[in-house]
Amino acid sequence: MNPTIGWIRDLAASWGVPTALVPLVPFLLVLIVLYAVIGLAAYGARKRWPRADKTIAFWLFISPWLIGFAIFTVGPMISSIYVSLTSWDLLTPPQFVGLANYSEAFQDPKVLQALKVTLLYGVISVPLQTVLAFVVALLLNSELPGMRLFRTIWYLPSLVSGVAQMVLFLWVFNPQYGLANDVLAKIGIAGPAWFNDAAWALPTVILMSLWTVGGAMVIYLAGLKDVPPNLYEAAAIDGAGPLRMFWHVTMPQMSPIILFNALTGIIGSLQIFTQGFIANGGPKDSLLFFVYYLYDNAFKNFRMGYASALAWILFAVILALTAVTLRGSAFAVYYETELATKRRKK
Amino acid sequence: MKLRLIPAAAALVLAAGCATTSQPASNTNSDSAAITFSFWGTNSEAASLKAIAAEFEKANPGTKVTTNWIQADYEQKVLTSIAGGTQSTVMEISNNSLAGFVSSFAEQQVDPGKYVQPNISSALQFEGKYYAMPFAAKPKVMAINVDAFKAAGIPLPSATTPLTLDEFKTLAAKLSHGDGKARVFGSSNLYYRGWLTAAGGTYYNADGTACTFGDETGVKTAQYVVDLQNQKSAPTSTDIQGQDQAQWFAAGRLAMFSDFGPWTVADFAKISKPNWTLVPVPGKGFQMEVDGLAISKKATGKQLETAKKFVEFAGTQQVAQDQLIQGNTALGVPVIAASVGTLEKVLPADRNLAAFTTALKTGVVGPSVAKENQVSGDAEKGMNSYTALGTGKDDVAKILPELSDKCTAALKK
Repeated sequence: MNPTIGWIRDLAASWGVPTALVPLVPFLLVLIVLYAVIGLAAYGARKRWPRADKTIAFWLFISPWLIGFAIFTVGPMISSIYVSLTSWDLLTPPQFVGLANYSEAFQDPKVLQALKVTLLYGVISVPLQTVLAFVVALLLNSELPGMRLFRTIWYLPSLVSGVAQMVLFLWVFNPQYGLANDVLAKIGIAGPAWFNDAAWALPTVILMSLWTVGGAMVIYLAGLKDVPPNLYEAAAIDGAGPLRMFWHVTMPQMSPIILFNALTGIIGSLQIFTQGFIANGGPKDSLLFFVYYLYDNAFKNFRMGYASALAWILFAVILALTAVTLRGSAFAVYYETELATKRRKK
Repeated sequence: MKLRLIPAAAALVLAAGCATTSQPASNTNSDSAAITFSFWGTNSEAASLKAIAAEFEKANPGTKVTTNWIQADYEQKVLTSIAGGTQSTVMEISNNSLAGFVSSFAEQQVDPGKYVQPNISSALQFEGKYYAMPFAAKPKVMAINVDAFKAAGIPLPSATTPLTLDEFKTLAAKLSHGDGKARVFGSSNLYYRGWLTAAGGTYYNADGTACTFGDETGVKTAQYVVDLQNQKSAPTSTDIQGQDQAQWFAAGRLAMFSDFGPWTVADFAKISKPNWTLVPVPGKGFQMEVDGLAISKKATGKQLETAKKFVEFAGTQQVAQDQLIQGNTALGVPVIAASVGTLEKVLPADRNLAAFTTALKTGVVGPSVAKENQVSGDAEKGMNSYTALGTGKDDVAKILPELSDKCTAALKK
């Protein structure tokens, strides 16, 4: 700990500040000084540029977030770049090793396995989730009695946290006592070992992921409600049937929302962790997701440098996949605003 | 002009807040007799350690022990605190994890003569030096279902002499019966690493530089475990997934429960039917864990003095050792002769808690290796994935030597 902060804490304690509040004192003090400096800067800027009131107010109001972002997001990110170039076990000081961690990662068969498992999960689960959530949203978009109850029921599983969900499904898919194999046994099928079988573990997690499509479904539902009814009326007047209306009206109008859900789905699927963690990587590393392997290196093997390098590799993979998806979507996504711009150019 | 000073002032403020130093300020204040003490454990285990701290304060007026109960991910949190320079003055440590932490612990003077057997003190040695003061041991014993033995017409095993592994296998087969979810197993699930020690094998060589579970004894023991599972005398890991084997024992589904540590006493104390008692673990018994108290290398002055007094008090004074037993729960077995019988009195004599005392006196400990979590974690994951010790089907004679070689390579890396 920094000696200045230690001194402030000791001083606060000697002044009778309650023990639980002592750690807050240096933080608040730094914040007060920082804002005094920012206030002075704003005052000076206002005197120099009297017409820039709104700009100064903007920066002042946004400053709490900016400071938080700089300290808690940008700071650790920059620090992790440095850590990724070191060998650090937390107990001894970091040793600079250059790109050795990156070079090791490219030769580590477990990194390859982790990428394979994670990408396979993403490639299968994201389209499945997208289709299921969209179909459910279409069904729940009809105005029938009790529809609100159905919407709530579909959304409810999304509120269950990852760990609770995994524990629940470990029971559902328990080979001996689980609900899944009990039901299968009633129709004469001997169920698999699910999480205990290397061939079945990943499909089981994919199956499990479909339980929480409620979140995406709500976004699709909001999008469907936003499609202008006059487009359907015009299509109907032109003689379009339900399928044509779906293909030529609903789909183009919904395409930006589908892209948004697909992008967030891809990013989320590449960051999957809990399922691998609870299943301890699964048999034969069948659930060795990339983030779980990263965690394992950081907090089981205490290889902070290597884990940081893995984090940056994952960042690059996510960035590349997002860019490819965005680029590829240009041909399939319809933006009304884009059309208006093009029209103006003509 | 004034405006130009603003960035400099801001930089100064941030520098004061962010600059790091190699000398932590908190928890190591050398002028104070107040120390901090980190430990892991359940509610009752934490109660034991808090009681020891309270007894120390009572016996040493003017000292203060602030306890820091870390309820989960103990080693990660201790490591993080060491990295941040905010570690406690005294930290609980298991002999299995000691090697990884020695660079942060102060060397200690331990008198082996104060403990009931030499393995207790030597467990907390690394490269010939002591880095923690022993204060609790966790030997294992075996619970047997007396009613199941009587019903099968089988005489009870000796309360003091361990069964041989062959005798255990025969008994487990005789005591098993029934089918499906109602099957009664002669034995609980067999933990390979424990049975390896029972069979006279070792996981690592004596100096912790190589893994040895792939040798002839290791493979034979693995085959022994697989055979017991195949003949359905013991449940597989799939059978017990999500199950509490203590509850199986209480329900009469297990005739012998071989992984019985001091912390299990509280759960079994509630079981009145079936009638049960404790006997030694077969063969040479399971490996014994020894927990010690380490002192931060950063502690100096009065604080170091207090920390030394505290660990000495916790590990060698009867008033502290007796606190390891709270009601019918036990953090571990006391390690000094004056307190060693305390656990025996928790339950009636016919439960034979004295088996713990016997196990303590004969308990073996393994060497502490620096990357224990990583190397043994990877090896056990391999065993569980590929062989019938877990959910796999491959031959243990092929897989174990391969895993053992990988494990040795990881140790040497």
